[in-house]
Amino acid sequence: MDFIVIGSGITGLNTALALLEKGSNVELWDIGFTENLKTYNNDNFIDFKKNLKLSSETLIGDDSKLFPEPVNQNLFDIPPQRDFVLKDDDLNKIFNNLNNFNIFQSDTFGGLANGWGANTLPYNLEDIQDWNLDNQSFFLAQFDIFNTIPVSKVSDDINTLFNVKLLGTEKSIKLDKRDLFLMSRFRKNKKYFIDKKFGLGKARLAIKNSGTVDSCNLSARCLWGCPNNAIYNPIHSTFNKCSKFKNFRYFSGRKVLSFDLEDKIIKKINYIENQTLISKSVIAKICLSAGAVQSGIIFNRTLKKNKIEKKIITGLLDTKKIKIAYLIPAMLKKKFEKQSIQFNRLIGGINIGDNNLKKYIHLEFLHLNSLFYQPLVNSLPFSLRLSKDIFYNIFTALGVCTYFLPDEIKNTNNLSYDNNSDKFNINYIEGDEKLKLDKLVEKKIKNIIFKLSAIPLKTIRYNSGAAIHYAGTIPMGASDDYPVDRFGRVKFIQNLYICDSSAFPSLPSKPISLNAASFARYVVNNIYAKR
Amino acid sequence: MQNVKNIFQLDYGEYERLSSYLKLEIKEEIFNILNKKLLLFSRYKNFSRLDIFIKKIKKNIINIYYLDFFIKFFFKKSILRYQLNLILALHESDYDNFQIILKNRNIYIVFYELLMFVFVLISFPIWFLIIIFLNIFRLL
Repeated sequence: MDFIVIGSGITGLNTALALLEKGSNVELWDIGFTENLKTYNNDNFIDFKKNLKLSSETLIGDDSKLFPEPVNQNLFDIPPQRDFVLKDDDLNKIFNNLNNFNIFQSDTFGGLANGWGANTLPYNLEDIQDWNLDNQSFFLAQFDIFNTIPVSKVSDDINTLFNVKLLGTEKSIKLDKRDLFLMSRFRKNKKYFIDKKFGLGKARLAIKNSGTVDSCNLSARCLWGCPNNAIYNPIHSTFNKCSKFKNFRYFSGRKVLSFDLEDKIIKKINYIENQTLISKSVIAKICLSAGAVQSGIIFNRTLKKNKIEKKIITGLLDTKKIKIAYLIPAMLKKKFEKQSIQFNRLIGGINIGDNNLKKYIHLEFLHLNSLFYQPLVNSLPFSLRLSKDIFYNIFTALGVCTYFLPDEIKNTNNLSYDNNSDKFNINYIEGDEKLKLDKLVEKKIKNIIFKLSAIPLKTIRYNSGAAIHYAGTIPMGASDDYPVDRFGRVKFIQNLYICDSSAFPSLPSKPISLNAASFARYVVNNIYAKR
Repeated sequence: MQNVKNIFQLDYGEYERLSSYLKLEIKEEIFNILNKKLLLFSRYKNFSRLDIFIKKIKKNIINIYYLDFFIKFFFKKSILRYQLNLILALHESDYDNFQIILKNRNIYIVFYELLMFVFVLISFPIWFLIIIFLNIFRLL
């Protein structure tokens, strides 16, 4: 076997595919639980409710699934039928202390991609300028990824204002009345917004949209998932492409723990299969793409197990996520739209100018169409009857602007291994600089929302980790202190390559997933460039 | 000892009154699913004496107003809060009820309900004392 790829998420499967296209023999290992989601084809989300049994089972869970308690309904708790994210009990087996870091992990085939929001925006030169990459090679890999996966090809102010490449092959999704209203306000006051270094445009979503007015016609009914593959999920298209290669083998049910080294080469992989600890000898290059946290865990455990006491920089990055809820008064009496697509259809960007952190701040605008609203009603600070009346009377005019703050490696933020328990601690502190940036950006966005003829209602702040854009656990850099070189190879383990966002030495505000896949492809391309 | 099942489950009359409070239309099919879900919940959830007390309070519209306020702000883990949210969730899953919810949208109702909320907020201590007084023997 030439290569063993660990992890079946967006980066893992795109690593495997890139290797196969080069003619390599590839094994893909993952834990590989499956969800067995039921799919139902209906014209739209509302008509789906005509069959109460199916509707309630999908939205609230079947007889075996507990409806989550209102006191602690979390993201991904609804619908209860979905279970691709590890529950607290499972996380407690991995971590001793999370220190208020909201960690989301998955043992499922496809990993967290089973519930991602399909948001993409390609990194530009400014985003990666201090990464010490071969930039031309990275952008070639990015071109391949964004033009292979169905991404909306959109040309608008986002491209021109923020130097965003025109990539993608899919037509853009249809905007609804609220989106069109905000776009019209943006165009009307464009000079003001340009002065404020703000741009608004259509979301670049990794969603199949051709041949229909509504992507959800292709998706079957779902919440936080898309069983029929309208939203890009690597376990469908990319895995199918991999499976067509004769030199591809997939091993499900393998939870990799660590590697055993001899003379700086991985000779054995230690993993659990069928509750048995196995130590398997390998002669292959290993591509680690289990996601930043799991890759970081495997890497750190390997260092300890092999007594590598080299002083290296490790980190933990996530874009801080903040939401500002707003009301568009002009939309108060508008009818509810049955259009199914539930994701943000608009994105924005602000250039915040001089700052030590990255300059570009990414924004996503979400307007409510077909969604399951009880958790939102429950979250309002009133009794349930009043919350329901308020919510249903204004929800067609409600919107949420989410913004993401970039992150950088800091010595306070990392994964630390506890020898005694064989578990990890998450250490993460938001510095004063980030808190100041947050306040600055919040003020700017509220002004922008006003100018878009909407009223900011409430700012919702989340714990660190909530954005699920994890990176930087095995960072790359030119100095010897960084464990990974500019081509993704671990400097002191000859046959180990980091093919996911673990290697990012900083984290831009933009959505991470397809950029991480681009990085994975870049690493593979450079393995073959025989550098 | 109170029968555990009775603490969690609703009879049809209770379901009808809670649904009516939330301005939802009752349906036997929803009622059946509701009680299955509540039975499942009873296997995981412990109940308190306060849950028993709330269960015994007569569920007329006035009491439900106050109880809704009480469980939102003072007794967040109550079984009644679970029941009310589950009723809302199930009715939202139902096509007919969802259409009713959309059809009955009226911004002026919100102002009326806000006034009611303020009234409940102010008068809550009085109601609470009355309820305690009326049910003192059940608490002992």
